[in-house]
Amino acid sequence: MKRFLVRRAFTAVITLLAVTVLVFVLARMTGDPRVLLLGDQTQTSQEQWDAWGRDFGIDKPIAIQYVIYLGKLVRGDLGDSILQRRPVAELIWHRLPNSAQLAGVAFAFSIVIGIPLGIVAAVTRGSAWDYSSRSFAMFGHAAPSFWVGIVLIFVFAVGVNVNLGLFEFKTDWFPTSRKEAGLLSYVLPGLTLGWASAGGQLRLMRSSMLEVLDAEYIKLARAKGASRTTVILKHAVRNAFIAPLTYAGLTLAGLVTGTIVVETVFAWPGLGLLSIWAVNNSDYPILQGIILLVTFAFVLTAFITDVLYAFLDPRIRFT
Amino acid sequence: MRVPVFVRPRLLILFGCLAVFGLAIACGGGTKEVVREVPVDRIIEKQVVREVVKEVAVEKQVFIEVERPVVITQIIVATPTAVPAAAGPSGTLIVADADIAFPNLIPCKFAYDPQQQVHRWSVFDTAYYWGFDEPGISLIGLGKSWTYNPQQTVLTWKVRKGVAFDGGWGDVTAEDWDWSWNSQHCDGSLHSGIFISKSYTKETRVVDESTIEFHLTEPNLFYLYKFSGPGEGGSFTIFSKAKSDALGEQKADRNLTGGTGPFRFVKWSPGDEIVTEARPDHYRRVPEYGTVRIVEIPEAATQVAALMAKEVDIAEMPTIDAARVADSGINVIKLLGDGTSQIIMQGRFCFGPQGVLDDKGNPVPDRPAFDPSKPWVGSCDPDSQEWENARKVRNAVALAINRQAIVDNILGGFGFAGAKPGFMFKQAVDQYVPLAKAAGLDWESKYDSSAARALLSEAGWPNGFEVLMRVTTGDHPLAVEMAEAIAKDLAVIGVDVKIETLTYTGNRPAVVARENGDWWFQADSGGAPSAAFPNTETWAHRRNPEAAFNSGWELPEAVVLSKVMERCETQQCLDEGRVAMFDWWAEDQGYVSVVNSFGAMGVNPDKVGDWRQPLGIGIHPGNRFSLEYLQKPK
Repeated sequence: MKRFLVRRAFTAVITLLAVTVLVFVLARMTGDPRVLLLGDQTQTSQEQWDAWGRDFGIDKPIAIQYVIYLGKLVRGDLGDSILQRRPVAELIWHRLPNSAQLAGVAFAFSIVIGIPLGIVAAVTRGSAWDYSSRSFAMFGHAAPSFWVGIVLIFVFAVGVNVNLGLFEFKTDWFPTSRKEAGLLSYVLPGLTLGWASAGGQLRLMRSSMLEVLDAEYIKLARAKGASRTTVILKHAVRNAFIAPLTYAGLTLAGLVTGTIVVETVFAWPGLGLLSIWAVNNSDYPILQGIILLVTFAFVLTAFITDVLYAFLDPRIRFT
Repeated sequence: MRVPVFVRPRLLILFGCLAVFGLAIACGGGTKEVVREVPVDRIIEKQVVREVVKEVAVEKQVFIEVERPVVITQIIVATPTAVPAAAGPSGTLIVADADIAFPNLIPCKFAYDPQQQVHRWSVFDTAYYWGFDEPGISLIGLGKSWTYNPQQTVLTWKVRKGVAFDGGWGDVTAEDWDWSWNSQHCDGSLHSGIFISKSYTKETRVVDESTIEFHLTEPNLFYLYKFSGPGEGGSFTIFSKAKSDALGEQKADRNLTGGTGPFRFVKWSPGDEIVTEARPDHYRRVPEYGTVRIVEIPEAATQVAALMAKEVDIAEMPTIDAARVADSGINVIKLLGDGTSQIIMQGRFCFGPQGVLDDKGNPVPDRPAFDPSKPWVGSCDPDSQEWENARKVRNAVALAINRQAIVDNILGGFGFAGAKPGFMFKQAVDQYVPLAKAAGLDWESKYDSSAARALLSEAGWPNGFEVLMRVTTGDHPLAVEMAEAIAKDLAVIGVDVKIETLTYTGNRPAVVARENGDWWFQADSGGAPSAAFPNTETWAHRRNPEAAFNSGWELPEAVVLSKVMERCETQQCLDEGRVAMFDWWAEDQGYVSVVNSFGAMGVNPDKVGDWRQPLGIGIHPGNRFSLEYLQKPK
C-alpha cells in the first residue's frame, strides 16, 4: 500500500511539473502583453517599453523566467495580474468559493439524481424506467450547457404563462442570473452544470450494475434466498461503484474549475468568469494560476480516487 | 473490475488540460482599441429618437440645430446650471454591462477600458461636452471657455471655478489640468489614442489658478477634440493631483474618490459590479436616482432575459431581440450610433513612391504583408496598369454586395446601406458641407453583379479569385452572418471568399504588425447617438506610425489629403478637403463599406421615463450612458 501511494504521489508531482512548463510556454505564446496594453510600439519610447518589460518580468530569457516563476510558485506566489495589478492568488481565492458552491450544488444534483436512476435503470432493464432514465442521461450529455442554461433561464426565470383551465400561473420562479437571490440563485446554474455529469453517473452506474448483476456471486446470493433489496444494495451496488466513483471524483474537480460556460451564461462571479476575462485580456498570470488550480484539483482528486480504489477493491493495491 | 478506458485518470487529466489550453489559444486576448474620431467644426444638438417598437413609432425624431461657425478661434462661454431633482436623488437603478473592467484612477496608467468606464458611468467629467440641456450651450464640462491665438498654436483654457473633486481633494485647478495632461501623455502611457495630443504638444503652461495654455508644435484642427467627452479613447481626463500626492501612485490608483462627475464610485469590483451614488451638489446635473448598480452579465441572451424579467432596468441588446423584448413590455430605444462595417482589403501597404514621411520625418517603410500579386493590391505606382486593375477589383467587390438585403434580412431594419465612403454620412455632409451638397456627390453604393463581373474581367480576373476574409467578433453580434451574406454575393462574380472567425483582439497583433495581406471584415455595433459630423479626415488620417496600427490600411493618398486638412484655417479649406477626400475615396474604395447599423437598448418602463441621451462624440459613442439625464416615470 505504501509503495502504491508513493508511486501515485510521484506521478502527481511529475504531472504538475509538466503542466507548469506547458502553461508557462503556452501563456507566452499568446503574445506580448505590452502590445495589447500599449498599442503600437511606435507610440512608446524604447526605455519605457523596456521598463514595462521589467515590470511584467518578461525582459529575461524564457528559461530564467520559468525558473523565477517556479520559485515563486513554490512559495505560493502566483504573480500579479497584469491588468488588475493584484495578486493572482487573491483574485482566485476571492472567486473560488463561488465556483465551489456552485460545483457543490451541481455535484449533489449529479449524485442524487444520477446514481439512484442508474441503479433503477439497471434493475429494471428494458422497462419504461430504463428508457426514460437513459433519455435523461443522453439529453444531459448531448445538449450543450450554454443552450440548456439559456432555455432554463427563459422558461423558469423570465417565465412562461401556463393556463390549466382552473388556474393559471407564470413559471418565473428563479432569478435569471448572478447569485444575489439566495438559495434560489443556485438552482438553474446548478441544474445546468450538474445535468451532464448526472447523465454520466447514470450511464456508468447502469452499465456497472448490469455487469455485476450477471456475476455468479449475485446468482448465488439469489439462489440462497437473499431478498432483492439485499442483493441489489448489499452485493451489487458496492461492487458496481468503482467506475462511478472514479467519475465522481474527477467530475467534482471539473465542476469546481470547469464552469466557464455556465458561469458566463449565469453571470456567476466564479473562476470560470475570471478565466474568460483573463483570456479576453491576455492577462496570462491569472490564466496560469487558474490552469494550475485546475490541474492541481484533477491530480489531487485522481490521487484520492486511487486511494479509494484500493479501499474498495483490495486487489488494486498490488497492481 | 476493469475500469473503462474513458474514465482512466491520466487520460482525463490530459483531456482536461488540453481543453483548457485549447480554449486559451482559441480565444486570443487583448484590450479593446480606439477606432474613430470626429471633428469639432459645428455643433448640432439633437434629441435621441425614442421608439417604442411595439406601438409603432410613438415618438419622432427632433432636431434642434444650432448654426455656428467653426469655433476654433472663438470663445464660447457657458453657464451650466445644476438641475436638482425634485425630491433629491433617490432609489436604485440597475444596469447590465458585459464587462466590468478594473479601476485605473491615475493618469499614466489610464488605459482605454477603465477610461470608458469612468466616463460611461458619469463619474469623471471632461473639459467640454456636446450638450443639449440649455439650448445654445455646448461647453458644460470642467472647462469654462477656450481660445486659440491667431496662429492657432496656443490653446488657452479657462478652468471652471468651484468644481470640487469628490472625496475632499479640493477644487479643480489649472495645476490639476497640467499634471493630468502631462501624466496622461507620458512615454509609455496606457492612455490610448494620444497620438495627436502627444505629438502636437510642445509644452503646457499654467498661467494662473484657472488658466492654462497648451502650446502646439504646429496648428492642428483635431487637437481640441482631445478635451471633449464623453469617453472617447483620446479624451483628456482630469484627475486630482492632491490625491496622488497625498496617497502615492499605488494607493491613489485603488482609491475610488477624486471624480468630478454627477456620480461617485462607491464600489468597483472587477468582473462583478460597480456601484455609484449621486452627488447631490453636482455643478452640472443632479441625478434623479440616488444609487446605480452596474452589474456584469457577459452573455447577451442573459442580459435580455434579465431585462425581460425586470431584474435589470437598462441593457443594450442585439437588435434581433428588439421585437421580442418590446413584446414583453420593455421599451426599446433605437440608438442612432454609427456602427459601420467594412471589408478592409489589407496588403496595400506601400508608402515609398508617394514619399510619405512619418511625423519624425522618416520614410514609412513597406510592410511585411505588402504583396502586389494580390488582385486588390496591384502596384505601388498609381500610374501603372496594375494599380488601375486593382482599383477595378476593389470597385467590383463594392458593386457585388447587396447591402439592402443585409439590412433587411440580417439587421432587421436596424441600419442602412453604407455609402461609397462608409465613414461619411450623407445627412451630415449635406447639412454642414455646402460645397459637398453643391457638388452633387454620388453617395449610393450600387448593387450590380453584372457590372461587377465586367469590371473583374477588365481587371484581368474573369474567373474571379480566392481570398481569405477574417471576421472579427466581439462587437457587432451579427458580424459573421453579414460576412456569410457578403461571401454569397461575391461568389456570384466568381470571388471565392473563405471565412475565418476570430476575436478582434486575437486578430489585432497581426494587423498591428502588418502581417495580414488578406481581407478583414470588421463590423461595429451601433451605440448611443453620435454627433453627426462628417468625419472624413479623422478616419483617413489614422495613418502609420502614429495611429493606424489597428485600422488595417495605410493609404498614402488619404494621408496626403488629411495632412492638408489638418492645416486648414478656414471653413472653405476644410470643406474643399472633404470633397476631395470624398471623391478620392469613392473612386479608390480604400475599403469597401457594407452597412451602417443601429444599436438597441431596452429600458424598464417602471423605472425609466424620459431620457435624453446626449450626443456622443466619435468613437464608441455608446461609451456614455449619461444616467444623470435619466428621469423617473412621471
